[in-house]
Amino acid sequence: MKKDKLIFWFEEIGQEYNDSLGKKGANLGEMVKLGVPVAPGFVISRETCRRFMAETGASDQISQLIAGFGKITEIGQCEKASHEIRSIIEEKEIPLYIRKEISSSYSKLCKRAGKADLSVSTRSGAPASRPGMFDTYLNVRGKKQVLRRVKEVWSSAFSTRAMWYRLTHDIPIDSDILGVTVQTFVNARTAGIVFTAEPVTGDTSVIVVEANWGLGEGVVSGTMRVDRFVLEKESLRIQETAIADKGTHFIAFEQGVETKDVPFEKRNVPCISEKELREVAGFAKFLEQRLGCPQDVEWAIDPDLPAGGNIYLFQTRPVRLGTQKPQNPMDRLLNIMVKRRLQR
Amino acid sequence: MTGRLNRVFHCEIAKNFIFDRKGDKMEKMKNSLVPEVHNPYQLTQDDLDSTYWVWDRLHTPPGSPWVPMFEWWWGYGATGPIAQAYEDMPLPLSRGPRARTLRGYHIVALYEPHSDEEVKERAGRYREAIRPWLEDTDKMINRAYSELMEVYEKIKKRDYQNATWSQLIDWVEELGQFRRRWFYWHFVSFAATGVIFQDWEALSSELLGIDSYHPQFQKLMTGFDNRSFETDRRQFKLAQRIIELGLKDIVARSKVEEILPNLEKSDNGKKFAKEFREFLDEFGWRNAVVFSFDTPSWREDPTPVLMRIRQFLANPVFELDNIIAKQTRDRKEAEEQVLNKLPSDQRAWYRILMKAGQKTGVWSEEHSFYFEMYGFSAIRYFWLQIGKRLTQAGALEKPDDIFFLVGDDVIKLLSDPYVMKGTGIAKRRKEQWEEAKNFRPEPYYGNIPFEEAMQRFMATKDPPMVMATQGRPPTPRPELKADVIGIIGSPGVAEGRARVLFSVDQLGEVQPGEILVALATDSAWTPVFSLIKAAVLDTGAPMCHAAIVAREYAIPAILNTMTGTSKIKTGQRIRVDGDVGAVYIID
Repeated sequence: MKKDKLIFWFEEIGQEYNDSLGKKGANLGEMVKLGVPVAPGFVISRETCRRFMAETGASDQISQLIAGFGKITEIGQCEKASHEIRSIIEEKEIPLYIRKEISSSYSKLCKRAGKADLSVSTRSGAPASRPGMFDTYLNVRGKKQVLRRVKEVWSSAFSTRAMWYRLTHDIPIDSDILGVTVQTFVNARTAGIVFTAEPVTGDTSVIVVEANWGLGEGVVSGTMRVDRFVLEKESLRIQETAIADKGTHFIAFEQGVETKDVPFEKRNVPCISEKELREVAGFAKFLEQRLGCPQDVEWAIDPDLPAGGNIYLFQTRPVRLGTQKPQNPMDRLLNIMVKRRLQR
Repeated sequence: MTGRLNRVFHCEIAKNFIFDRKGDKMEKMKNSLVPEVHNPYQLTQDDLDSTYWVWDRLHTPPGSPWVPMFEWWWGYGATGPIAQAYEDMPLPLSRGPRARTLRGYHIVALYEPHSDEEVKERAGRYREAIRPWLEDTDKMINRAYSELMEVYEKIKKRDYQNATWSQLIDWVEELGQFRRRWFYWHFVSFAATGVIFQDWEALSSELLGIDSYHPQFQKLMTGFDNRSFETDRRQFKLAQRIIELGLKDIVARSKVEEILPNLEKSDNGKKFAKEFREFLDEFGWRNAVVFSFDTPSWREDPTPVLMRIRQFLANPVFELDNIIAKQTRDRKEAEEQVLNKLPSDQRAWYRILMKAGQKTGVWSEEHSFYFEMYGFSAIRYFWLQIGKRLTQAGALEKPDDIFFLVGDDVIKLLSDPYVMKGTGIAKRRKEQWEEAKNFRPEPYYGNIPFEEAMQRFMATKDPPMVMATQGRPPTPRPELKADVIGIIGSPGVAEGRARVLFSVDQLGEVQPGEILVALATDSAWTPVFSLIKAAVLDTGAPMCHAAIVAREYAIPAILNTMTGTSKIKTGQRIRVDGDVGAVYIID
C-alpha cells in the first residue's frame, strides 16, 4: 500500500486521471500533452488525502462527531460541525511518509525553477467541477507553509458551504476527498481570459480577450473593470479595442494575495501589448483546433520571463455558447435566480 | 293590442308570476324575489371541483367575517388583478392566489402552472420582469406608492356634498377601477420582493452558511428607517412641541377627549392644534382596526395619538433615533464582512441581490402604510361621504349602513336616491353578518388529501404564501430548563414584568420596561416596541414584524413559542434570553 504513487507530475498525466487526481490536475496534464506552456507542478492524489484522513484517525473522529450531532437541519449546526471538523483535521500531523513525498516534490519543483523558496499555489481538485466550494491558496512559500496549506485544502472538504451542499443534495456528508494541485505561482504582470467565440452571440469568427493588471482572479471574478479586445480569428487582426479605466487588481502579498488599487498611471493604458495579445489568441486558437470546439482559456504573463516566451496557460474548457457565463454581474444573478425558480 | 286583449295578457302574466294557484301571493313573492346571495365570488361547487382551497384565518379569523363592503373590496376585487399581477411578474412555478368568500370569510387557492411548457415560458419572461426590481428596488416600490397616494389625494379633495348624483356614480365606478390597481401593485410587489428575499436567504445559506435565523444575516436586515417609525417619531416631535409651547400642563390636566378643545383656548394651543391637524392629514389616515372599513380613523378619533403623545411627555425619549446610527454602522460592517467572505467571482452579483433583499424587509414593514392603512382609511372616508348623501336623500338610515352594501347596491341607490330604499337590505345584511360570526368554514376544501395539497402548495415556492406560513418549530433544548422556548428573532437578555396581550386594542395597558407577550404583532404594534424590554410571541419567523422591529430597537425577541400566551401571566417577572431562545418565569 505504502508503495503506491501519491504524487504525479503534470507531464505524467492526462484526462484519464480525472477520478484519481481531480479535474483540475487532470486537465493541466492534458494541456502539457498538447504542448502549450503550463507552469510546472504536481498533483497530490485523492488517495493521499484519503490515507491522511484514515491513518491519522481523523476519519473516525469525524464520523463519531457527525453521529453525535444527529440530524443536521439548520445551517447553524452545520457551521458548528464544520468548525470542529476542520480543527480536528488541521491539528493532525501529516504521516511522515506522506510529508516526505510532498516535501521532496516541492524541493524538486524549487530546483526546476532555480529558486530556494519557490512560491506555489495549492488548489483543490474534485472529480466534478465545483467552482468556489473548496479552498485555494495562492503565493505559498516554503515547505512548512506548503504542507500547512495542503492540509487546509484537504480540510476545506468540510467547509460549511461544502457540507451544506452535500446535505442538501443527498450526498454522503463525508464523501469529498480532494486532490491538491501544487503549481509554480506566476506573479502575473497581466492576466485574463480568452474565448475563441463571442461568448454572448456565439460568433465563431472572432476571438475575445479580457485582461487586467495583476493576477487572473481580477478578470475571472467579473467584478473589476478590464480591457477588452476582439480579434479576427482567421488573421488575428485586432478588430476592436476597449481600454477600461482599471481601478483595482489582484497582486501577491508576502504570503497570499490581495486586492489593491491600480496605480494611477496604469489605469487607462492597455495592460497588454499587441504582440502579447496575438500570442494569447494564437494559443487559444491552437487549443480550439486540437480540442475540436471553441475554448475558454485562462492565461497570465510572467514578468520574470523574456517576451515571446512569457505566457502561461492555467485552464482551458469548452465555451458554452449562449449560456456562456456573462461578465455582467446582473446577468449572472438573473441566471442564478431563474435557475432557482425552476428547481422543484 | 287592443285595450281588452292587453288586460287579458297582463293578467295571464300576473297569474303565473305573482299568484300562487293555491292563493297566497305575498308568500310566493317573498320566497322567489328576495336575493340574499349578493356575492359573485362566493365559493361554489365548481370551485371545489377545480382545485383545493384553504380558509385564510389570518385575514378572517374565527368570529371575524368581513362586512359586505369589505367583501366587495377584497373578495370581489382580488382575483382578476392578482392573476394579472402574476402574468406580469411570472414566477415560473406559481400563478398566484385567488380569492373567494364564504359568508364573509376569506377562502384562498394557489394556482399552479398547467404544464412544463408554461413553466418554461414563464421562466423566460420572469427574467426580464424581475430585472428592474434588482436594478432599482426603491424605484419600483415607490412607483406603486406614488400611484396610490395620487388616488388617495383625489379621494380626499373631492366635494362630495355638492357633486351631482351622476358624478357620485362615476366615482363609485372609479373606485372599482382603483381596486384593480391596488391589488395589482400589492401582489406584484409582494411577489417580486418575496422571491428576491427567498433567493437572497437561500444563496446566503449556500455560500456563507448563514440564513435568516443567523444573527449576522439579521444584522444585514437591520438599521433601516421606515414610515411606521416615522409615524411614531412625528408623534414624539409633537410631544416636544407641546413642551416647547408651554402646553404640558394643560395636556396633563385634561381628560383625553378635552385636550384639543382646551388647547384651542390659547394662542400657543391653537398653533399646536394646527400642527396636530397637519400631522393627522399626513399620518392619520389609518383606521383603528386597520383591516376594516367600519372602525374610525385617527383623523376621526385621535385618541390613540393623544395617548401616545402623553406617553412621550412622561418619557421624552425617542429611543430609536439613539440606536439607529449604531444599527446602521453594524449593518455596514456586517455587509463588508459578508462580502469579504465571498470568492471574488460572486461578490458583485451577491451585492446586487443583498441590496435588493435588504429593501424587502423595509417593504414588508412599510407597504401597509400605503396600501392598507392609508387605503382602507381613504376608502372608509369615501363610502361615508356617499353614505351621508344617501342618508340625506332618505335611501339609508345612517351613513355607516353603507358598509353593509356592496358597490352595485350603492349604484342602484345612487341612480334613484329619493325613491330607492337601502334600509331593508342593509338591515338584512347586518343580521346575516352577525349570524356569520358563529359560522366556521372548513379549514380545507379539496378533492385531494390535505397533505398532498400542502406539498403542491409548498412546491410553488410562492413567496407570499410560503412566507405567510409559520416559522420553524423551535428545537427542544431540555438542558436549558426553560419554561418557554422559541426561535431567536432578536438577540440579547432582558428581565422584567410580563404583559400578556391578545389584541392591538390593549396596547395602552403596556407600561414602560415591561416585556410583551402576545400571539403576533403587525405594523400597528410598532410604537409599543419603544416601551418594552423584550418581546415573546406565540407565532412568527425571523422576517415577522416583531423580529424586524425588535432588532431595530436592539431588544430581545423570541418567536414561535406556541405556548407563551398560555403559560405566562401578566405581572409575572420573567427573563428572556434571546441568545438561546428561552424564557424563564421567575416568580
